[in-house]
Amino acid sequence: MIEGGKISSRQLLWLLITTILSTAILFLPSIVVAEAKQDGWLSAIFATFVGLLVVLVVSTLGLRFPQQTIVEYSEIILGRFLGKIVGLVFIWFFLHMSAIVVREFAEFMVVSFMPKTPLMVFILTFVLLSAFVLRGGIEVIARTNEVFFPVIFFLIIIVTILVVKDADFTRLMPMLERGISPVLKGTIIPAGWQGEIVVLAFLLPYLNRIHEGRRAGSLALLVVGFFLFLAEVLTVAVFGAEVAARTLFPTFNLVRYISIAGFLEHLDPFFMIFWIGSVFIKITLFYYITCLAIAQWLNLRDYKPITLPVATIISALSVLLFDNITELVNFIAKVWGPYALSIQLGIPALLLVVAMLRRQGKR
Amino acid sequence: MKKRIAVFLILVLSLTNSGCWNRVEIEDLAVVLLIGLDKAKEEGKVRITVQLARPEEMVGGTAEGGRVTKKAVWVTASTGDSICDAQQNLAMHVSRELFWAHTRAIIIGEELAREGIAPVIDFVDRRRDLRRRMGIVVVRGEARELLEAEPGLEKTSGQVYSGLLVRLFRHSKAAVSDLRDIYEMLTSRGIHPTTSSIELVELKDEKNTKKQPKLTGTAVFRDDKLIGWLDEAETRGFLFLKGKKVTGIFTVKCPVCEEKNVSIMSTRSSTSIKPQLVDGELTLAVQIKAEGDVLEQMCRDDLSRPEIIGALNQRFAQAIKAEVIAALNKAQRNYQVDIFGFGQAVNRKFPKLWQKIEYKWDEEFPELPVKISIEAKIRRLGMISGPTTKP
Repeated sequence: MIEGGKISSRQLLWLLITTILSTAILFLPSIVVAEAKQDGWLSAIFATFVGLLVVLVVSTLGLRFPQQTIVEYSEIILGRFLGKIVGLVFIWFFLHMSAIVVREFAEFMVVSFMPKTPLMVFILTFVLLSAFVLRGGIEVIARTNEVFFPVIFFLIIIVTILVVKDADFTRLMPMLERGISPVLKGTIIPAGWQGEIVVLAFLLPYLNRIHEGRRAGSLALLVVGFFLFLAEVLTVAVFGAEVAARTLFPTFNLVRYISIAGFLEHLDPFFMIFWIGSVFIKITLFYYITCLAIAQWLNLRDYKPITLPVATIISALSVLLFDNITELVNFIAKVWGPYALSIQLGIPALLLVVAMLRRQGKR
Repeated sequence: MKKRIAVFLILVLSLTNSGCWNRVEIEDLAVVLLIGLDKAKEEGKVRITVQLARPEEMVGGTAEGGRVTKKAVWVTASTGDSICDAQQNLAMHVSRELFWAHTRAIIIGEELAREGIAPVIDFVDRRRDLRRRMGIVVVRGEARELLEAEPGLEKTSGQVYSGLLVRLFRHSKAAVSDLRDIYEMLTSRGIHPTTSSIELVELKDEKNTKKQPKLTGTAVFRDDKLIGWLDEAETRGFLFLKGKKVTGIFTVKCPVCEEKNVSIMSTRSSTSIKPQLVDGELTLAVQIKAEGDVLEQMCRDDLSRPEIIGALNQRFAQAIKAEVIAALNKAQRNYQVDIFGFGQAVNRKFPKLWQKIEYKWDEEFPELPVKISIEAKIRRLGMISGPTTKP
């Protein structure tokens, strides 16, 4: 096996929450509200169900083929040639996703905090730091997250409490003003985020008790779903649907809006702590899975030699993918949902059906 | 050995290459307290006025040692083709880096407000160093004059503004909208923006008369253009109708002597706005509840009888009603803009109906029948129970 480490189900749970929540809570609210208006919170709930479907499919596959990741068992299920193509799709997907997340991180830092610092500085420092953590394997990534996670969790709770004072919940009315279809349209985008739980297909073999994987995955989605729901409710209740839809980072604006008794204000740095810590984990995990998948795809004995080449590709790709922030946001709003879901849910579902028909793997 | 060299290099590099290349020392900063925006005299140009703090003059203490005391602030202005351009032009004569994050408010000149405030909102909300909590007020006259005013009590008019803002609850005769409020009112259907107006008035409280900033009533917008004002009483009525808490003094005639005044302090209030369909016609039922205390009576009659309190309750309600009706008439008759958010209330109650009328709401609103019912109750009479008469 390429990866010798093992993680506990609690480590997995924390890792999954940090990974999905980090970018979702920043980029999603305005995009979802733009579609679903004040019903954005419904979209968050629906998206969680889509995510749970992904967990069900992926964990069933994982239990049929314990000790193997999706890149390995897709070859068993579909045969060598088709299996390799599926593997390639996943390698591209995770490479692409890593690059997008790196770019999202850098864009936010440039827009909100350090306008004069070149994009490349953020990209390189982050990717290189990730590369360093990566050499320690999945155990080190999980333990790093154990340091960040409590802080991140605490910050979200505190911000929620401080923001409630300025919320006017009548802004959430009327419900379903223009029927259910805007809500369903608004569901596709967060569903693509909740679908990131597909990382389970790569992590299950390294779980010390594989049967707890499904529970950890589902619980992670429920926690993330709850925080997304909170983010949608609060951004609309504080700013109103129209303003929230017109804001690039509404949750960041929420934090900036906090003012308690005239002295507890300007809390932006706390948001930056949350953002840097959680996105770092997200980038590292996706980057790790990219390397792992490539190594398994090429039947290498170790993934470490390819970490730096992959780092180069991710850094370059993240710059080349989008010309400006409008392209980035448009890509997330228009393309990301269907594209991600077809890979996160479509391919694993296909694999599962074929495996069941061919009676492959354990039952 | 190799390892030691590596550790040494890392230490040296991390100490020398840390990210301070674009740092700004605090003594190189000019902290902006207030921003004023006006139409410039040149056609199509904007003038920005900033009030900059002189920190060394802000601290208390007497001037000694022959030190020349300067004013606590420096007010300076610059013009440009856009707000940003004007702001950048400030750097041509201001010797320090402008620091915007502590700005207390944006004061918009009347002329600029009449042309539209959307560019101002855009300018502010696009920036990363100004917050949505910041107040936006309209000055009757020029913003620059207001920023240059010499306050009687405080060192800067920025401090005057903050102080006035904290004590709005004393009278409820002005209501300041912050950036979030205005942005929402601009982008949502069924409401038009309003914010407090501020004015330089001559106050003859000292030997030499100086013009002082004063919050006076409300500025009314149609979309982003200033179209008029509400006076102080109308502003209180407007706040009732908007569902805001109104506190402050209402004076009514004493029900016994019918000539002298009784002051009633409204301590809490609540408003419920219920759109209704009566025979297919949209009407609005507004129910206002207020509670108050008697704070003073100018006559010498005995008020401490239940039936007198009952009569006072009625007069209290009438006083509120008069202000509410005045505000409603001004909005429906004179300005014909929905500044109360009645459209939003209709949207919440009858979403289907709203979709048919939302685009012609501006025409529907002036004809909208509004039923007002007021329940006002006096709870307490202060620390004395009887009048100032002989038994």
